[in-house]
Amino acid sequence: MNSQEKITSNQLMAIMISLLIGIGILTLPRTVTEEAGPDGWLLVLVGGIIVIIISVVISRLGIMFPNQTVVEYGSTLLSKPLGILFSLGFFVYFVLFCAFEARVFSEITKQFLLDRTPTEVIVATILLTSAYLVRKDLATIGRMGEMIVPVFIIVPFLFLSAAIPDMDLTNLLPFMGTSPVRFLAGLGTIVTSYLGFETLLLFQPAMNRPQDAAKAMSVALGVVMVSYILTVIASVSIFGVYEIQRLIWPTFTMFRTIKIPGAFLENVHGVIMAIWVVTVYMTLSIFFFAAVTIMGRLVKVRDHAFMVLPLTFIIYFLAMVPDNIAVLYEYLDMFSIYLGVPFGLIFPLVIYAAAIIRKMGTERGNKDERSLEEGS
Amino acid sequence: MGFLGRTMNKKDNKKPEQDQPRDRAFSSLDKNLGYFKDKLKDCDDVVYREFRVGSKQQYGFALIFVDGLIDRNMINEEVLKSLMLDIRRANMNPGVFSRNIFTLAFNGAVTTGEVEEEEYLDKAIVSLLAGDSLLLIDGYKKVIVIGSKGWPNRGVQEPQTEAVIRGSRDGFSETLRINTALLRRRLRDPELKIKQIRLGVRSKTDVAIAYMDNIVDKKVLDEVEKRLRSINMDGILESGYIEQFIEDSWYSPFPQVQNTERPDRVAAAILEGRVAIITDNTPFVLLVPVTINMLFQSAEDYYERWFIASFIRIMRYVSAFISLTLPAIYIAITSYHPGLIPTDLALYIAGTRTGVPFPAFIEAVIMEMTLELLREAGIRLPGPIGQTIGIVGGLVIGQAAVQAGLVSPIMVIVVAVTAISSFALSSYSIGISFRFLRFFLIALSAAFGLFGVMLGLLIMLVHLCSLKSFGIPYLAPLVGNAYYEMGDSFIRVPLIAMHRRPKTLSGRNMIRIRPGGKNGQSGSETGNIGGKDGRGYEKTGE
Repeated sequence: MNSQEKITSNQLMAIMISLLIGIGILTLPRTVTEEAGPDGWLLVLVGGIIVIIISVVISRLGIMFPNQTVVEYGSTLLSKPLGILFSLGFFVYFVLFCAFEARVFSEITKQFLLDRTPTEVIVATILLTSAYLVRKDLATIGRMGEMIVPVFIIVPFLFLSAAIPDMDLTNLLPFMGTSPVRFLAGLGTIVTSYLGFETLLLFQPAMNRPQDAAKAMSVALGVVMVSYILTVIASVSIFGVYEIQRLIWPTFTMFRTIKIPGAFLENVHGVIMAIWVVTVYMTLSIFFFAAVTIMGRLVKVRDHAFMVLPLTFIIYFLAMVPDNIAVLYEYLDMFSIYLGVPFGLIFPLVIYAAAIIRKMGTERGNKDERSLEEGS
Repeated sequence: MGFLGRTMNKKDNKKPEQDQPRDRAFSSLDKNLGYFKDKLKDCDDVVYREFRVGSKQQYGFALIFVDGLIDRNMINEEVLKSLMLDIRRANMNPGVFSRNIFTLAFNGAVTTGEVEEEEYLDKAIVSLLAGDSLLLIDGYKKVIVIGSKGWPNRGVQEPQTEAVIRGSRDGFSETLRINTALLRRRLRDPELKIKQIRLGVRSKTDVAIAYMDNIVDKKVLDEVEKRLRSINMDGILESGYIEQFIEDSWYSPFPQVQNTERPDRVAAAILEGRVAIITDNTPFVLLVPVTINMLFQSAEDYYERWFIASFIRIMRYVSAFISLTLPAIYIAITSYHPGLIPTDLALYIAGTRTGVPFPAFIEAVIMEMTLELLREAGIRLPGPIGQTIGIVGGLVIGQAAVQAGLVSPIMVIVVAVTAISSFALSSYSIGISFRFLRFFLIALSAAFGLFGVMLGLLIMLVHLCSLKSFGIPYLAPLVGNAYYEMGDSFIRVPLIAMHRRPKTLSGRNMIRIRPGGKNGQSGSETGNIGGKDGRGYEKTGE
């Protein structure tokens, strides 16, 4: 990422938005309703705010260590072996996330689009297409995001507006009826829907103006948060608190119920599927790119393209490990608890604490002589 | 630079042109003539005119030219007549006369517009073969090169490939000088620079680089010159050769250099900060750098009013999308996802497809292949026969195929709509890219249905996002921080709103037009000269 093109703030926003809106959004209404009942949308809101705070913390780290990703300043702050261990852990986390995304995507595609195609084939094709993108640089991903994000934010919500007559907002009552204990327990799960924001640790040095990262992240996370909230409100109002817990993918089912009368497109869910393929592709590719970036920075290589294909095979085999959807989601839950929360929430805060305690890093106006300038 | 440019630029391929010219002229006329007759042995179109000048016919002169490349009239009147007759009639001191006949001839007697002297005979031959005439004088070691170019050419005709309803019907011709003149007529600004170089070791084709010095992006200009100078080919027969040498990715199906036959498009491009490359012997001028929305713009968009222009532009984008994806979507829906279209339509399509022995994919391939063959055949056949074959072939063969039960009528309609949409594209090069990509999408949709179509589109989008033309991302202005340029992409905002030049292309001299002063004065009358930054000057059109 050093001698390559820089990304603009808009591109970072687009990358983050397309990264976060992936497979999570399909199951989101169900999971938050399971945790917090009709207050699910409130959970999304609070989770979003927490995530915004953490990403502001991360952006501070990026400003303190210009031109360095977490691989580098992690090593300097936490002693080299520990830093490398953390980076490798991050790498494994991203790789597993890619495998999950690919597998869930294939399951859904197989169920709704291509029922006769073997899952292996679908996983292979999406991974290979992803690999093509990951071989390029971050600016290409940024440009793709810029082009895609307006479409997949606006179009689904346009379709949703056709479903407003079916929405019964009383399904969202009683407001604030959940016990605070249950609410706090739910926060753990909701943050995992926002996982992906920690890639800022890696992408900030590639920005044109890294100091704008905080603002860009807040806007991007705000957009994602609003999209999530609207989706949850829409699904819960259409289906109600009890039925929604019986649908595996309530978001999708919601779109299937939309019928635009008189229009050519009776079955809106075809278009939504098409858009969703693109969304998940972007999520998958950006996580893949993050993994490759970490490895590239660890090994200090100039061009990361050669690592992509071997990693594709690894992700493929990992994706085929679970036998069916039930096992898959079981693994996914374990993953989000044991890997998602530590790497997403705890790790950035730990590093930031280390930076503050050890008084390292350049700050504006800070005449600290121990600032580290070793970019790569 | 392109792949071919790199392979050609190896150090051991020394260009003979760069070596020093070796053959100095002799002072004896006979020896000089001997040199030329030897080098140009068996070139029977080279004419050697020896004559004597002076009242006592004491000075030996020779004129060499290539018949067919010169303006005969000029040679006869200005050179031969002037030297042979008018010198004799002039009252001159015989002493002056004999002192330096060379200078006399050079400065006074040869009454043409371009005269140069040349010491090296091999460079003189190059000029000779370009259409200049050589005047040799006995006793002098220099050759006079007289500009006398005049050969048969087509003149300025309407461009065949880019017809417009409204707009000038000037098209470039095959002579470089006519083309540069057409450009100068539209941009009467001293900042319009036209640099000439010679490319091609054996063809020595004149190539001109045209740009506006205070608008163009200097980095792009330097890159263009660098890539042009690295071309090492024996013959540059058309601008297409140059295009393939200087483009960024030789493997991409998308054109990274735009070509046009219309001088008004070139002038508009230069005003936006782009660089034009004019090649001798072809009316197709290259424009760099290029972004994808330039390939969807046509000159007419600016001459009509904004509402119509925007509507037509949107239709162009829609037709591009249709021509790319319609067969693939049809195959995907009929083979994999009949549930995605309204029930009535699905049942109807199923009904029409009963009895057709092939799956939708094979049908589509058969029809598309037939269409491509018809298209090629139509190009090769002369004039009216070609057009008739196209229509007859399309209608009759399609109808016959349907009646024979080989294809379904819906397929014929799909293929016909696709073909018509592809003709609506304004740039031929993007049209042929889409033809190729359509097959790619058909194959993917036959294998994976709608998912395959989405994957194919994603792969294309990734490719487009990573493509650059001379440092400018191909997808600008849709990406990058240049959102005001969007006013000129999908729609065309009124001219009043087009204040600034595209930022991605130049970044200098951003103000394009100045709205008029308070009392209805035009911009140039209000004296708004000097620009906000004081860089250069702008004038409104008159």
